[in-house]
Amino acid sequence: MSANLRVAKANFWSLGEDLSAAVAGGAPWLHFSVQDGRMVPKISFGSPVIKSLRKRLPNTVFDVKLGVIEPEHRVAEFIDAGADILSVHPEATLQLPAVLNAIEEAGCAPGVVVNPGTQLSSIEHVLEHVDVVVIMLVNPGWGGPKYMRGALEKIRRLRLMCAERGVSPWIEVDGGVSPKNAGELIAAGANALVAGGSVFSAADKRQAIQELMQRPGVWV
Amino acid sequence: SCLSCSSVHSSLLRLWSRCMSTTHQPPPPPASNDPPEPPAKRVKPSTESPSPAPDSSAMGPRRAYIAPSVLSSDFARLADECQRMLEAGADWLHLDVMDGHFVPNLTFGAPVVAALRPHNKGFFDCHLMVSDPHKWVDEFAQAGVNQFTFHIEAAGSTAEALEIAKDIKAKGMQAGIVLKPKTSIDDVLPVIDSGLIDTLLVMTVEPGFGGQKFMEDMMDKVKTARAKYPSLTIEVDGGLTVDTTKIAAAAGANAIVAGTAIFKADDPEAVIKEMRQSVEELSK
Repeated sequence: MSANLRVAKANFWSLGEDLSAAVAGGAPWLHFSVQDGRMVPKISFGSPVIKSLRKRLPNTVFDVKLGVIEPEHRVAEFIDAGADILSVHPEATLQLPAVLNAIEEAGCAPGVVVNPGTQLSSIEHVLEHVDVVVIMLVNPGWGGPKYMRGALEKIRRLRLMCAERGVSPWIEVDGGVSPKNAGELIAAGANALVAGGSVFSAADKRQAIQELMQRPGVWV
Repeated sequence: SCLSCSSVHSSLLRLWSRCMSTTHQPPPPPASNDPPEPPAKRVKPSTESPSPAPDSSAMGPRRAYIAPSVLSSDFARLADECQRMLEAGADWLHLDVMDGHFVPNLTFGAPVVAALRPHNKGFFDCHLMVSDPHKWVDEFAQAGVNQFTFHIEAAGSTAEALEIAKDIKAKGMQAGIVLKPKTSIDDVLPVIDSGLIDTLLVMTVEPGFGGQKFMEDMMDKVKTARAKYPSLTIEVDGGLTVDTTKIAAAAGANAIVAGTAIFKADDPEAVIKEMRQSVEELSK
């Protein structure tokens, strides 16, 4: 099980130190939510931020979610910046398999993002070609309600679909994961959790991460 | 609602007065520039003679604004980098927001700016290379931006540009308008004539692409604007170095955006000082 940290919730002012502390506290992956103001109604940050951090944290997995329209134009840029995983929204591109293939050929792990509004049928046909499926608990860029029940159902169905096909991508959950709901998500079949506010706002980041990783039913 | 507008406005005023009370720099300029000169009286066909050109020779040295661009900094150490710039004598911090659509690059948005704000007393000069800039006025006002500069090409029309400028001012920020190299200076004049614009930004490279050379032919735009508006802040961005600053200043520019020329210099303080001197001596 992997506890990843959403970079957006870190203090940008001292991004390097904040993230180093979190990684030292036990987070093996760092999650970057890139938002272009169109796929998602917020502009967060682009590759320059990731490139700067790659130098600081050479051994951490950079798990990048591209909340951008036409991600195919950004694949090379983000791999160059140091992404290890690149996840895209099926709605953002006209030919999803082509983009995933491009990511894989460039040596990166491809992933897909399932918003509350995305049907699993949009990604069923590419399950054999992804390493990560990100299930969003909230509508990205909107804040607002957590679609917990919907997410749990999707995770369970996804596990079955993967078993049927003999594949086992990481099932990652993002958008309001906390020690309160982590157990339920993992029990449903998730094995990667993105934690943002609940870790970065914690005084002791190491303890917050350990708490997340010690949910019942979790083996590392 | 009115209540939320005024609370943003008053919190920005408090923020502004905190910025103005910074002690480790000479007193910064007042929040708004002098209003631009009213347009010259229209010459009637019959007997009236044209009004005399505004006499700028009586003005003292023009106020210089040197604005390092944070895009050239190390994002993992944004705190130290911005503080380093202020201590080196920067007047403004120039923030290049790019949305990957209006220009091909995607840099950063309001969350990054909002994270900088509590730690830095400087003037945040924000250049928005985004489609539909009106959509972002509120968010950047709340992030604590001091000047919101939008593209005339993104506004699409004089009417829309005026609406955006009005909204920017209503939210307590200074309004800037910027034009790309291929856009005629004529497209921004009606907007500046309204009196709502504090700063004109003339791009001296194609926005969104790195490593370009300073386009000297853009100086015609600077000269035209300077002749019409003696008190307007005229900013230039793209390929500015110690040498090209002299050219820009001589044309009438008084605000200089520079990235690598300042950030990557061995002695940023010396570079800033020299640029400021060029503006004060050459800009007229």
